[in-house]
Amino acid sequence: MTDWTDPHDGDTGRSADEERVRSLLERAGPRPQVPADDLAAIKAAFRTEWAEHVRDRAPHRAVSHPRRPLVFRPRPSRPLVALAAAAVVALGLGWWVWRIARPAGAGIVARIEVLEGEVTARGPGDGADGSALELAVELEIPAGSELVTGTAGPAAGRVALRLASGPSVRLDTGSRARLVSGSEIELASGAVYVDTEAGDRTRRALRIRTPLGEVRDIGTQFEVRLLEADGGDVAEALRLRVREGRADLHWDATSDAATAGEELTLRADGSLDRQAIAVHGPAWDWVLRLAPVFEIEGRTLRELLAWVARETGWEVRYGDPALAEAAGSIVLHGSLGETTPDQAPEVVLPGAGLRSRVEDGVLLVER
Amino acid sequence: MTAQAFQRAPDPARSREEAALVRDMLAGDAGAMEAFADGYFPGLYRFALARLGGRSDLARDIVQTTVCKALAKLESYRGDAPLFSWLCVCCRNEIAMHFRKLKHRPRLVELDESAPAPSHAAPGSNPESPPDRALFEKEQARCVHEALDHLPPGYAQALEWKYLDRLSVREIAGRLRRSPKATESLLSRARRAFRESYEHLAERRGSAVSGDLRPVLEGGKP
Repeated sequence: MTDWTDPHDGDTGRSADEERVRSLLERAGPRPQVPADDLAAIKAAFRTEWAEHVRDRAPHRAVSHPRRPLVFRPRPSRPLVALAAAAVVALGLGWWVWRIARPAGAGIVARIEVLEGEVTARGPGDGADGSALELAVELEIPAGSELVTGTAGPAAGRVALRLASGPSVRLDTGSRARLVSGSEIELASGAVYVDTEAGDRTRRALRIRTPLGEVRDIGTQFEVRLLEADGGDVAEALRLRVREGRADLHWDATSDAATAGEELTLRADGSLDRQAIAVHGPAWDWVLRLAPVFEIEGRTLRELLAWVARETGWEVRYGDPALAEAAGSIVLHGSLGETTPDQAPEVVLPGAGLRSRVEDGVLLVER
Repeated sequence: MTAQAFQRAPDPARSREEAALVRDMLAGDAGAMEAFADGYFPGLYRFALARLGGRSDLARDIVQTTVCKALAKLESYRGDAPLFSWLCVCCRNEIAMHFRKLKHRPRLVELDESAPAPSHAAPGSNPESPPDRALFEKEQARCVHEALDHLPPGYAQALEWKYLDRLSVREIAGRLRRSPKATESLLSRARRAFRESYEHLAERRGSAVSGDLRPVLEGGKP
């Protein structure tokens, strides 16, 4: 009979990996216990809600099984479960086919961070008549997927993605874009905003390909927008706006570059205009709305303001050097919830006895 | 964030398990409902508590509202995101609504400015000084606990039995009603899942937590 005495008992023979996990868990100690009264109250309320939900959903079905042990393991199939499973598969067939039948090597290239309104996707390899699927936050997107954001009114949609290599990518309303790979996006219509600062600096440059030209980032924040004539659906111009860093625009056998505070407009006839733009203000509001949640719990004031600056385009200045120094040791607690970056200073600073104002793109923080 | 954080695609088996648990619960299976409550409510409570400044009364109310409202939304749950992460998103929304209703400002804690700056992402701080070390260890512990909460309930439980309660494999197998071999296999999967979960959370919180552990996790000496 095999002796299954734990070979790791007695502190001998542990792998390095197991030793590390043990060390982490021992140092952290047990998870805080939830007060029994609180847990009981939550479960009682949930049971009541669940019983009503089940009654409303299936008035004649009554299923009762012994309480399950707290273990994740396959449950034996039962006729009712099999029937329910078949119904789910039948209704969600397009979804499962998309998830399961991904082309070999179609890895995950992005994750959805923020979703607003109607945003759908078609899987890699699906044609224009393939079924479009509504998306959800936290969903992972495989390479080759096409994302479409609703155009106007109640269906208007926007989405913020985090690429696997780190950059934040946001699509405005009325956009259609294909995530060809982790470093290439095809923009067919609408606008995409890219912030590459948080990404891995050894990654390949991000390329945005459009019918009129291609934009490549050089470590930057920028927006690429395809402009159509009124009532038309064919792009007549490509507009590149750079907020930080630099982005290169390539078309035909030519290229040009835009740096922070510049806008390039390339028309279908090949003509190019350049003008200065503000890196903050209403033109960037749609980007601000898609800023991913910033968890302030345990972060410093300096980190919060750096995030505010990055998302708003404001420059942060402090009223005095001592305050600038202290900003790195003021620790925040709580949650911003859905406070947008431009609102965050008003919400957070008064609690520390500080105030702020914005003038000409400068956020001044004072005592 | 690195690519590693996203190559951690949801385990298909786990996705199916969770989708089946939700399906059974919504179909009226009381055992599935209890398993759902026991498996996810404690972690969700801790998640809320950490974001509500330790207010247990608020955490209880927020989690109660979250899970009750989640029932209707769970009708469309298909296992495409880990169930606990999905519940955390719902909880986060409830917390946001709570603060909006109260027009609540986050509480700020101002440290003694004459003390050394905390190690928490402050460049130039000294992780070896006692105040900084204490902060670091507290943050690390929180990260470990949250990583455990993000695991399938059985995984977290098995790891705690093994490394905190120091049960033998045979004892754990007895509790799980599995063979010792299956239990070893579960522990191996649990360690791997914990490591991925911990690294993912540590990355999101910044290098202060993961900084001196990354070498440990990647084979270096602590």
